Amino acid sequence: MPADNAAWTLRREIPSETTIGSELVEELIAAMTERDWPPADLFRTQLAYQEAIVNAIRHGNRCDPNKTVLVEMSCDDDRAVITITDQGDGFDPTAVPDPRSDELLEVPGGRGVLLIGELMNEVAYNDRGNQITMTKIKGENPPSDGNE
Amino acid sequence: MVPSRREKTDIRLDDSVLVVAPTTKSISTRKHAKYFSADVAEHLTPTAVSRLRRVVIDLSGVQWVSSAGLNELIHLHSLARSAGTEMHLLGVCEAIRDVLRITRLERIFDVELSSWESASRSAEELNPSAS
Repeated sequence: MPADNAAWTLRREIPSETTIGSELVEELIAAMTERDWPPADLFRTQLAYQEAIVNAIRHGNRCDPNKTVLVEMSCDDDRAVITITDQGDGFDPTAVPDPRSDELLEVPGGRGVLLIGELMNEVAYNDRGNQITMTKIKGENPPSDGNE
Repeated sequence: MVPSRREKTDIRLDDSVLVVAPTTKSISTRKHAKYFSADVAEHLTPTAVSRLRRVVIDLSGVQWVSSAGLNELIHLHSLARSAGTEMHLLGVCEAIRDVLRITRLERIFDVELSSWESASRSAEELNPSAS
């Protein structure tokens, strides 16, 4: 297999700082761009990552400087996979209320988990709820809600 | 309290319309979203709003908005409405439209497409068989 088609991987433990966490995705986006992923996939992956890393640092680790976040990313020509693990107590993603409900539609907050689930093709949490694994499949962008 | 400084938001009054244009390519981090929101909120005091017909958030230069950005847009929408004016989103690109659709915020925001999308839509309407 030619070198430029080989899988790209990154594994890094970062402090609980959103600025550092946010910048890390640039490396994945560069690897995906090198493999000719379409712009819509890049945008969706970057946004889902941003939501997940902020959740891990802010809600998981509660910005505790003594805690770290483990970020693992990989991509090849067809799939990009991101796993983010924080050192918090975890949460139950099924218990997050739907921000699209009439009562919550105009209430700020609570849209990160929804966006991750809609932007990525596969999303899984571990039992404890402190680790998310999300997968983007090249070119497979399901229509957004309300779009025919 | 909003922390000290960074990119300023481009804000102008155009014939009783407050036109607001973020100067960043994304409204993604909580910090930048708060800065943006604070810049606009300064112009939404009761006295200032009494001279406004509407508020336009021009997103032509913005490529994507995260949930942190959405939170601030919702906040500004509420502020504008409480002050008795209305808020529109202008120049919304496909990526941001996706996010508004997914979150169903299209139901509360008055959204206008970016100019090139409007143009391509018009072309499609004129020639539906074109790919």
